Amino acid sequence: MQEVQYINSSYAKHARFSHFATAMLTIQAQNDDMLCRFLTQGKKPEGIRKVPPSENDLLIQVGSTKDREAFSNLFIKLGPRVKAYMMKIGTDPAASEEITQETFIRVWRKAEQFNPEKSSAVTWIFTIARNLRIDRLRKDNKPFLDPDDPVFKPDEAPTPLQNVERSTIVERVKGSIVELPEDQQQVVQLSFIEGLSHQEIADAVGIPLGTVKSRLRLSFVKLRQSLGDLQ
Amino acid sequence: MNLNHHPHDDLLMSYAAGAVSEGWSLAVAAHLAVCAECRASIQIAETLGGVLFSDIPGEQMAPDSLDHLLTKIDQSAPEENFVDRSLSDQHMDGNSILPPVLRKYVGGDVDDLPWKYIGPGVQQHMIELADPIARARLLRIKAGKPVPCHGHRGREVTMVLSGSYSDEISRFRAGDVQDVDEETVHRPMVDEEQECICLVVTDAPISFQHWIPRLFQPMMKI
Repeated sequence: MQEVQYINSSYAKHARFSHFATAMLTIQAQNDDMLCRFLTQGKKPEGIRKVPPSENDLLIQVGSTKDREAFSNLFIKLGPRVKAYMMKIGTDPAASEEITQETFIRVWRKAEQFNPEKSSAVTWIFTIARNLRIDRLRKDNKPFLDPDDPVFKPDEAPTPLQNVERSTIVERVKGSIVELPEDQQQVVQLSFIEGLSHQEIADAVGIPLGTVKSRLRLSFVKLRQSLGDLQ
Repeated sequence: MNLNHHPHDDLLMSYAAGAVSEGWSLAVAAHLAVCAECRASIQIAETLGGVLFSDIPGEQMAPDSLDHLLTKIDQSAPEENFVDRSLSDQHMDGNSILPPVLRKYVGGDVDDLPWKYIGPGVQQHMIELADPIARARLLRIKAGKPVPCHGHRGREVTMVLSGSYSDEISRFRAGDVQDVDEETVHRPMVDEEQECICLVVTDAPISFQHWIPRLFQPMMKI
C-alpha cells in the first residue's frame, strides 16, 4: 500500500484534488491492487508500480506472449463495455455476457494478428464485437462481410493514413466528434452504438430519411477534414 | 484500381457501424475488395466507432466471468489462419469476374450460375439473402442494350463487375458503384464494346416480377 499512498499524495498535491477525488482514487488504487494480487495469486508484485499499461500494450502482450495477466486486464477494462454494447440492441444481460466472452475468446485467438500500426486496440476489439453483434442481429448464419478479412482484400494499395501514428488519428477523431453539432452526434451515436439503420434512425428521431443520410455524410466530411493535413 | 464512383459516405459509415442489412453489406464489401480509397474511409469510420465504443458506460460483469473466460481460452483451439489463395489470387484478373466475396455468396463464377432470361438481351440471377430490407441480384446485359428499369422507390446501389454502362450522369466501369436514391431518374445503357455484368442492390419492397426494359417505358417506376 505504500506506493498507493505515494501516488495518492502526489496526485493530490499536484492537481489539488478534492477529498472526494482523492477518496475515489484510493478506491481505484485499492481495486487495482486487489486485481494485481488476484492475478498474481495473492503474491504482491515487487517493485514500484508504474503507469498502468494501455489497451494497446496489453493487446500486444497477449499477441506476442499469450500473456494471461495482460489478457485478464484487457477483459476487466473493456469487457463491461462490450457487454453494454451488446445490451444496446436489446440482448438480455446473460446472452450479452456470453457474447462478450465470445468476443474475448476471439481476441485471445487473433491477438497476434493485431497490428498497432494499422489499428488501435480499442478499435480492433470494437470491430470484433461489432461483427459478433451483427451475427446476433441477423441470426441467419451468414457472417458479417468483414473488410479486414484477407479474402476480401486482394489489392494492398497504400492507404493515405498508413504512415500516421494511430494514437494521433484516434485523438483527432475524438476531437472531431466533440465538435460535431448535436444533431449529427445523435445520428452517429444511433448508428454506431444502437446499431440502427437509416430508416430506424429516421423513425426514432422523427426526421426524414434524407436528413439522416445528410447528417451522417456531413459528420463524415468533418471527420475527414480533421485528418486532412495528415494524409 | 483507379475508380471514379463510390458508395456515399452515409452507406460506408453505417457499414462500418455494422448497421446496414445484408444486401447493402454485400454491395459495399464487393466494392471494398477493389477500392483502397473506400477501405481507408472504412478505417476512419471504424476508428470513430472505437472512440464511441470506449465512451459507453460499462455494464457490470458476472462475478465468475473472468474465471469462465480463462477456462474457455484454455480449451479453445488456436485460430486457423486460413486464407483461401485460390480466391484472392484470381481476383479481377481475367479468370474471374466476381470478387471473392460475391463468389462465396453465389457459389461460383458467372458462368456457373443459372441465369434467367428476363427480357431482350438481359439475364438475371437473384442472390439469396435473409434480408428483409434489401434485395440483391446480378444482371448480365448484352452490349448496347438498356439496363432494365429497376425502379427507385428507395436506394439503389449498382456495382459494375465487368464491362461498363453509361447514363445521363456518367460512365460506370468495372469496380465503380452508382449509389442513387428515389429522386434519380436515369436511363442506363450498356456501352457498345462488351456485355456488362453488375450487382444491383435495392430496397426490398419493389416487385421485380414484371420488369419492363427502360427502352419501352423510359419514365416508368416500378
